[in-house]
Amino acid sequence: MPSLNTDDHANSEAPQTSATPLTLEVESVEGARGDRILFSGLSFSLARGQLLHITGPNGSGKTTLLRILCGLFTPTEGMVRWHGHDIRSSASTHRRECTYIGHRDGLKAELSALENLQINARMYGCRDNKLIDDSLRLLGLWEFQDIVVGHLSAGQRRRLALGRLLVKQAILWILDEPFTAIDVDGRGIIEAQLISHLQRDGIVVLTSHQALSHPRLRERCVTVSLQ
Amino acid sequence: MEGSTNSALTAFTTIFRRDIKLALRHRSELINPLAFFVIVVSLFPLGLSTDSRTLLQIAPAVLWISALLATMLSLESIFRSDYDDGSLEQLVLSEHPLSVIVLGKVAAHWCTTGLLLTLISPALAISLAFPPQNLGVLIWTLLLGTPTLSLIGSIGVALTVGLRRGGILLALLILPLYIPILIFGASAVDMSIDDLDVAGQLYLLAALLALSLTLAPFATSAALRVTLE
Amino acid sequence: MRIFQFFHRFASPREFFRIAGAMIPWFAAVTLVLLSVGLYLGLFVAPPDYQQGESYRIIFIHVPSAWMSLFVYMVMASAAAIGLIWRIKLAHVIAMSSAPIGASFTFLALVTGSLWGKPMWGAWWVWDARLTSELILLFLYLGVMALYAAFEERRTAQRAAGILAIVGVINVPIIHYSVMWWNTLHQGPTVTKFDAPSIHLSMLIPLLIMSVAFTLFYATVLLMRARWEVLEQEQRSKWVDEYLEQT
Repeated sequence: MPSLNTDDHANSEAPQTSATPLTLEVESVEGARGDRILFSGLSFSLARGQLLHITGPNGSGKTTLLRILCGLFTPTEGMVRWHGHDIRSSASTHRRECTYIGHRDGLKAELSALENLQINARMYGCRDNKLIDDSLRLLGLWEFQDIVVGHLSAGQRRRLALGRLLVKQAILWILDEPFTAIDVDGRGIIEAQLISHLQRDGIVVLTSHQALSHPRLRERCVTVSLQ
Repeated sequence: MEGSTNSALTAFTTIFRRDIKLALRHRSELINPLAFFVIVVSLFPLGLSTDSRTLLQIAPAVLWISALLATMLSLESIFRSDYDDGSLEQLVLSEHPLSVIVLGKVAAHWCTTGLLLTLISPALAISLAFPPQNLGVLIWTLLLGTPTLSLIGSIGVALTVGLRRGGILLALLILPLYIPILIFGASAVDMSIDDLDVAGQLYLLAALLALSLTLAPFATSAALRVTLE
Repeated sequence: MRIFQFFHRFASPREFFRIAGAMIPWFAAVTLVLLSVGLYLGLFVAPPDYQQGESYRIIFIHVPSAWMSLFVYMVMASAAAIGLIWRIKLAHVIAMSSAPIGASFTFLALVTGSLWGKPMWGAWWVWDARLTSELILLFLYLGVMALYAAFEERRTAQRAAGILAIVGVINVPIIHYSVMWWNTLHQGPTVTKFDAPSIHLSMLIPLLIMSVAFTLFYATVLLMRARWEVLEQEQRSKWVDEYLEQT
């Protein structure tokens, strides 16, 4: 059984979240791989402006939980609600309002950084070229925009993958190890983006082996640890 | 409603253009099915005989089976690289109907395989002593038949893309489903040599195309959602 | 509504395991009786055919297995559809337990067809339309079984193979008619020995009995297979532990 450590202290310091309705609700969810149960009876809920940090050792089901939250994986028991609706029945709303960055970057190695982000943006219905340019600048990829992704470093690819967050601007961000391969600089940039997303009443769910360093992230942070 | 149709169309063209662009950056992979087609067809005169009457007799079957196998071997490219680099899960999570995205990908696949196979088929047909005045029927059957091969094939690839070694399994799943197309395609070409009316087979091929065009994208999307879990 | 409740209860793995366990001996007994009666009537009572002599008697095996090969495919695809649409685990179990049984019937139909073909056509294998259709049906079964075996995750395997079974069932009529058409094209209208337009009652009765027997045989084996599959699938449940301790 996983333990659920809700950081009450941190929660109470975020008074603006108490009035807003709960947006993401997880109700007695069970995740299993094969005949092995990773977690069961897991329930929690998140209001807008909150960050959920999922911790746990390797193989504890962190990725499975994230995939359940974004609708890629159907839980063996229980359900996930978004705005009060089961995400399986209102999948299109949930998909429109959610961005998932998995541990694989989802980039085409043969296309340039700019082309990749443009294609993503078009799929999200974003036609704002300035937003794409701004995102590339912000992520420190402006000078590399015409380089084929296969020739970028792992950290640069990760940054580009996270660029999807900026061009889609969804409410719910689900991030699987966003800081992998990313340097100190990049980490600062991403944390700053997380903070401003939370300030805009967004929701972030992430897994990360490192603790969140920024105090303004920590004050909005709830932790679920899987075992 | 109009807005969502419009955005689905955008999704279709975005994916279609992306896949065409990717195919063009992999010229060698674009050539592979064509080279396979040419080599397999040229094996028959080598293995059988160079007698033009014998060749003409087997030409319809040889051309159709070779085109079918060339298509089958190229099927993996519809989803394989997207699966490996994580793009596929992004597409599955897209707000657009997955069947539309699938249709875009299959259309791009057909343009880079089936269409090209059709275009080079006359040259191969001539090498098998095929009468030039009947090339039209051959081209028509391939034009109507190969999109169906891509569409049905996409179901098989979607089902096996999550497996490490899906290649032979894919053939086992897909080839039985290809039999009707082979029967109508090859027999139309065969009968055209004897100047018989082949409109019936062409209509049947068109009907199979219409049927797979309406049903296959849904089956493929359902399969992708299952295998991506 | 009571029927609905019954199905609802039946669909719970534990109840299924219990009810199926109680049904199996009855099904097996009736199967055995019908098989003996049908074989006796077919092999000893029915008169020899005036054209084919004694060799026609293989139809009492061949025809029911050919029917079953199609029937089981329908059951498999319908169960898979029910499992996929209403997310009923038991339906998937029924579908996947049916596949090997259906494949066996198909194989039996092919073998008996070819045994029959030897005295009829003078060859073990002839590209007869129905035998060819049957062969393709066997390929379809093998595809479903191979796909089911290829996945490690049971749930994924069931659903993926289920989708393939449904795609197959849409294709079965298309394949059948295309093969029939192909056959007339290449061989001219052959005498289809599998058609018996004016079958004598003394042949028809054993044939019908054998068909019912085969159907019940399928039901028996299906319940047995599904029961073990359920036990394996639910191995983490408490009732399975209790059951295993009792035995």
